[in-house]
Amino acid sequence: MTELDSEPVLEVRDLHTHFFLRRGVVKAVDGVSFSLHKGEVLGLVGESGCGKSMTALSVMRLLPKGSARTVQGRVLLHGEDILTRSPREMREIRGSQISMILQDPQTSLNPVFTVGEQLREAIFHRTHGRNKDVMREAIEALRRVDIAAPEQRIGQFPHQMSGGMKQRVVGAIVMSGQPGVLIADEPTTALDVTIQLQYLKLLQRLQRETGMAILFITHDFGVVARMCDRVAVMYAGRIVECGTVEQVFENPSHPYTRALIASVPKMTGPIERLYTIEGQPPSLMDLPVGCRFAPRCPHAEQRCHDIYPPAFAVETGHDAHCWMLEAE
Amino acid sequence: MIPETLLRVERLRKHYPVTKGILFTKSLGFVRAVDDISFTIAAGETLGLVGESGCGKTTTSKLILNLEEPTDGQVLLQGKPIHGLRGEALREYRALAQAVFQDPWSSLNPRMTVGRTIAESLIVTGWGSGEEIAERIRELLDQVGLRAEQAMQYPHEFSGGQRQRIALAAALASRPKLIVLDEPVSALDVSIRAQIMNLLKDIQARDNVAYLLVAHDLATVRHMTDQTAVMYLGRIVEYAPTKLLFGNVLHPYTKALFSAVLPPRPNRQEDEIVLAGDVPSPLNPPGGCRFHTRCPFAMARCAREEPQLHEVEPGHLVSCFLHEAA
Repeated sequence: MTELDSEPVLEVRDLHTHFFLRRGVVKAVDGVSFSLHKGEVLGLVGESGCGKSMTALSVMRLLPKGSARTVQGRVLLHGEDILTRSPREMREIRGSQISMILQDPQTSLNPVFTVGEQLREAIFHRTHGRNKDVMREAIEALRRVDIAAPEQRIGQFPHQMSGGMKQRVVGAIVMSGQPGVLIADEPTTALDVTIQLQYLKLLQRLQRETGMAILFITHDFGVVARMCDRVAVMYAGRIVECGTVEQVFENPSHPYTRALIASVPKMTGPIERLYTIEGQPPSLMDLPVGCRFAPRCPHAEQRCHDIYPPAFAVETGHDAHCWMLEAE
Repeated sequence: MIPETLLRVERLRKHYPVTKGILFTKSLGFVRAVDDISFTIAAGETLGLVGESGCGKTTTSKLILNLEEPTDGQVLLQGKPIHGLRGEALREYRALAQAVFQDPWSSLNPRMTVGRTIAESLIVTGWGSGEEIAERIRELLDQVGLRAEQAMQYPHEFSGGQRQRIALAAALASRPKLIVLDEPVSALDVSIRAQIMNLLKDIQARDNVAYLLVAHDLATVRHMTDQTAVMYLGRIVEYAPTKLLFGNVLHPYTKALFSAVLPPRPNRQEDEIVLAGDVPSPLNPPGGCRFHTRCPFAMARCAREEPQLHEVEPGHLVSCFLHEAA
């Protein structure tokens, strides 16, 4: 499982990614730090617009062209900063060392090529092998992601497959590069519940077989509970709480984490009125100086509005940015 | 006291023909989107319709909203068949049955102010004078937790949760008896979902409106509904009061759905039922029980005969041979 003592395979330090628009600067990612160790699954949870996907795209160096720029911070992959690499070097790193699965398999596969052509391209890029060997490996890769009759499926186009199957093909393409780090950005959000469970189990099996590390981006605490070793909760561009899944679920220490967990309807127990968080997240163009959750927080005091709280340790390996935790 | 039946769906079927070619069309068969389903909704109650994509839940809600003509069977609202209505009678029906859809970004007209969107259904149903309509809009916005002056704003000025409130205000405008809620919270953020679910419950408690909640999230269904119907490939496979169903899941497909609900707390128990493969095509659904191709408990009989819904305990209907003897 988690090898916390080992060197992290991916380390993000004080990452800032901003959008420069005519109307102002949108601070989508505003000081994010975390580390991902070999064989570990780290969940990055938060609501839309909290910056979780932008964090992933910054790490992959795939930010939308034009307005978005990473203005500060370091992204260390196996100890080397990839933010300073040239676009050409990045192309080599992507796919072979770090890969990504997106939410919608429909948009990650090219509709005019067969899945076999797309998979073989990825394999050939790594092995430069003979046609026959590449083909054999491609069929094997499809079998590994539980696609029945891969010999027939390999000649099909994406539109001939169901959503779950397409996402498994994407998984096969990603795994063919044998990356050490995988970023999965809401990979099951577009899938049906029974298919979601199938896919999560598949990812878990592949992760155990290869020992790769996964950064799992999601808004669903159920997915985190099922998949992750550690979890980081994001709010308005920053991580507000981080710890092992057990620590964060048993003892959520940031009021935002607590509220998020409490507002989800449960499958057991009495049916009560749901807990709600009043108001809306702050605009990323006009962030409060103090704690970003303070305007919605039931426990906020003057200090919360004035100064951003530093990380306070709740336990070893579990910390949260909240003034309530000071000197306890 | 037994609440009066508001909506009755009887042996409803909707088959879509599939054809090939443009000039010399050749029939390839029918997609049996909805295939012989029956259920009732009492006044002021909520029925949850659960199932995966392609199971026919959206077609069912379209049939109930009279946006589609059924192939067979009928839908009765307050005892009167709804299909085949024309003119004034159809307008009256539209006032009684309203809908809120999943995506609050596409369900509001971006070129109309919020007030105008809400007024639209009042004008169509001939609700009253301009003054009365303006008053009603103020009242509706207040009911869904928005400010009266926001009636002058356009949809793009609102967040997703607020838009869903506006869609709800528009649906409530004509004082409907039934609102079809098609995945009303699944496009919203977790913290906003709870707000909308609480609001829906408040409105139901006050106005005694009935809901047909189409949803895939079982925890949401448990929280919101009185009755639950589980659909698979155009058929209802299990139908029971929500409390009974969540306490005693019987059909293997429902069991698999429950097992796919991710745990609210970390646990790594491995007794999950993971279904192999995908939902078969409704164009040629498997013979016998439609679930037998994916069912972990399938017997030889399941491929030959189609099980019918029958009562296993009072109010709890299941279509599965495993529970026949009970």
